[in-house]
Amino acid sequence: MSVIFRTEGLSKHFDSLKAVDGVDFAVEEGTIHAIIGPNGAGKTTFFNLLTGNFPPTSGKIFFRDEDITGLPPHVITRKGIGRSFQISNIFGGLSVFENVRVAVQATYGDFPGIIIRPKWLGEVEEKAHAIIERVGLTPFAHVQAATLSHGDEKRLEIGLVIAASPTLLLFDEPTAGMSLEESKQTMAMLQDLATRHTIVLIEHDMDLVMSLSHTITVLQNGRKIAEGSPAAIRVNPLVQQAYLGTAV
Amino acid sequence: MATAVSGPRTGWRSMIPLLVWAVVLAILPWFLVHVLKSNVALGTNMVIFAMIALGFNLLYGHTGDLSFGHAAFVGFAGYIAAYMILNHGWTFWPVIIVSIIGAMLLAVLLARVIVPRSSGIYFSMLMLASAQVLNFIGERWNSVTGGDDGLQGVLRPTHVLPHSPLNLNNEFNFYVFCAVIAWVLTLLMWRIVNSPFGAVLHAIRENRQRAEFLGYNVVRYKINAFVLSALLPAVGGVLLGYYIGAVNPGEMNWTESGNIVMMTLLGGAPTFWGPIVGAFLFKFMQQYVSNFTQFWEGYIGIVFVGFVLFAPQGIWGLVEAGWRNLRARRAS
Repeated sequence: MSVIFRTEGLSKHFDSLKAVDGVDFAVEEGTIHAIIGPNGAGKTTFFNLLTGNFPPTSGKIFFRDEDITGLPPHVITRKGIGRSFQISNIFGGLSVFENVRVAVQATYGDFPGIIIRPKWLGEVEEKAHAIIERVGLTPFAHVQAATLSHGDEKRLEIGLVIAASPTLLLFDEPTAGMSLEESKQTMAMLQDLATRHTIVLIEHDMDLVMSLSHTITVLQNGRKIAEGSPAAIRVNPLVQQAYLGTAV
Repeated sequence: MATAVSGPRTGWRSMIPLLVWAVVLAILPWFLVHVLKSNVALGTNMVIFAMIALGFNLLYGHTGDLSFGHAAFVGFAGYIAAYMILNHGWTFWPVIIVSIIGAMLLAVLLARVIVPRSSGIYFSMLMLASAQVLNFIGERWNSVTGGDDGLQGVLRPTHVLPHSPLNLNNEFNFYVFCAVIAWVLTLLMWRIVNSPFGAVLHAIRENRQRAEFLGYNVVRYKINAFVLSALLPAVGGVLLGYYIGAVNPGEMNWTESGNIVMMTLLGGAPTFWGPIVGAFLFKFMQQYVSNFTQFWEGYIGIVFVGFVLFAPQGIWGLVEAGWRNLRARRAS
């Protein structure tokens, strides 16, 4: 398998705080790669650097061997990297269908027909319905997104992310705040997505991480302290120390 | 804002509101003269400000950027028109085309400077300040703008179309002319708001970050929305110059921008028709209440505060909510 995404010495410093500190990271195509670490380890900051929320202090980011360091989020997205957020990030005042339709529309180029109805609009609407069905929200297609339950909001966000047909999906705590049943459904959805996309996820649910991931990277205080298969990470003394304060 | 006004609407049913709007425009003079015992000129004033508020709302209600300086486009276009008419004797069509181009160029300049660098209250204040600069120039550049007095003596054209009997000096003819322009521009705005482009603007209004992470260049979309939002106020500015027969710097004052915001909020910013309803009510109250008291602005203020506190979705928002409830009740 080839490396689709990598960082070299990636750092982000906020004054004296080293939120991310010299992280080398590589994701192989077609795998699920989890990033774990205790609270404040720098996981979300790391994601924010990858997707262009803010520029790194130093280091480089490559996607398919192209240097994407410092590019704005919309350009990075158009290169094929989709992202979900820790707190659901949807268009609350629009219906579920309108949410997904505007997401699909983004793949049809900039500044679509302002006055004349574009010919591809019917195709966009069909694709939107298909994605809504895939994330299990068909009964809520015409419901205002802000009125959805937390779990459904998260699923809608996943729908928005996959609508742009990205190659690489970045999920920041996709099961946060979900019930056990909703977590199971989301886990099944991630497994299904993994058949077509490469996935990087931040997750606190260790059962989910251990059962889904091919590779796990562990961050602590902004630094990478371990990387390997779930089995290797489970017995790594540095990881045990990071989580429990002492090796088991 | 909670109510969705997004999405491409197609088919003949989408034309029904526009047909209703045409009927309203057609019967308005009769209603004003025979029912309210007022005059046609009030209708013209209402229609011109409906156009201005509708254009402004593309940026506010549909994109989420509150401008406190849109009166600048009204006044700027009005000044270009008045200057060309009074100093060069230009006729209607060259005047309106050049005035619109001038106002749009001003919009491009302001959009490119302000939109990428500010949002929220900072955007609102920068727009207010920009309009105030133009207001100041209007007051002080006497040789061009006529200073505080403005440019007086703008005469309406006797013939706007070749071989047409439409003499705009006739108050009713001028109303018809403004109403036709207003309807055509409403159709244009309707198409914009309900196009895929409009859907992106609604997405940006709801959640700028998510729109960016779908791959949309949010700043470019906002710049385009800003420039388009100046079109109707520019046309309104030219027509207002003909309507009053003069242009003065007060048209670009922040209080005028505030009035446009007030009309829009009163009618319902998250809706398409709200600004038109708000402008109609505002102008009607301005004329009617002022017949009874010199403190008419205070009464408008009370109505405005009432809506902001108890019905922030505005008059048309209430109508739409009522309609939705009725349909839901019928369905159940």
